[in-house]
Amino acid sequence: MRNAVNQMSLTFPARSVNESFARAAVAAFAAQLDPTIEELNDIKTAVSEGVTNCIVHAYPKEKGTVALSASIDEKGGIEIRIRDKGCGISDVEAARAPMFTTGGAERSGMGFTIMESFMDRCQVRSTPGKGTLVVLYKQITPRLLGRRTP
Amino acid sequence: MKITHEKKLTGVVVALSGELGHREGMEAIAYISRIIDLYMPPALTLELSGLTFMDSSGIAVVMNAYRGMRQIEGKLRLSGAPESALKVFRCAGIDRIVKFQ
Repeated sequence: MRNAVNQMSLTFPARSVNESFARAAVAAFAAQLDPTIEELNDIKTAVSEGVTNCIVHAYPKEKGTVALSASIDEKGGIEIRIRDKGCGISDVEAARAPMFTTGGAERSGMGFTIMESFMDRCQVRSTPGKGTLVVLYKQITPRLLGRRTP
Repeated sequence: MKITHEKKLTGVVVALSGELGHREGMEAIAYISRIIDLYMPPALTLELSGLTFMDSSGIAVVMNAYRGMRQIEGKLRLSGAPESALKVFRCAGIDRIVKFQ
């Protein structure tokens, strides 16, 4: 991200147990922007969806890793990048459609819809056989009493 | 996540508490499926007031419970969902097919 005033990055195995770790880590990082509870929940939910996609879909054979990074800009926005080096998505447009899933009955197919609805921006780049990058952005609303500089 | 259930005269109440993500969602789907098979209740209530986090895995939990209850011609209700969970349910239109209390 250009003009990042703070950033962090993590890499972890694409294991289900790491989904809650990922959203908690991003929430702790985003807390310096003094978000509302709703804004923080939106971020946690979107991160959970993005990381779950990597865990459930990216590595059907051998488990790989998920690279997660977050940056805060001078406008008080947070950009989150979730990347895997897995199988990729052959049809990104179809994957982003509500209720689309290849994950079976335990998945709702609402992951991308929720990322789009809960964040201000959701971009997806994917190459079959090489992996997927999801970039999320949310502007945190300034509070009336001001905010500390991150 | 913690899952408990209580059998009542009117049906069964399953209470979910803690964080409901992908892993916990699979556990909840299996648990609720066993409850429906075991009791074949006329009504199933999912008590959600103890949830501290829920993503789209909660939608899959509700949809699986909805399908299971429809097979036995029973009713499904959701109770006590926190505002953050309601936002996820509304995103999927769950509020149009399942009764909220």
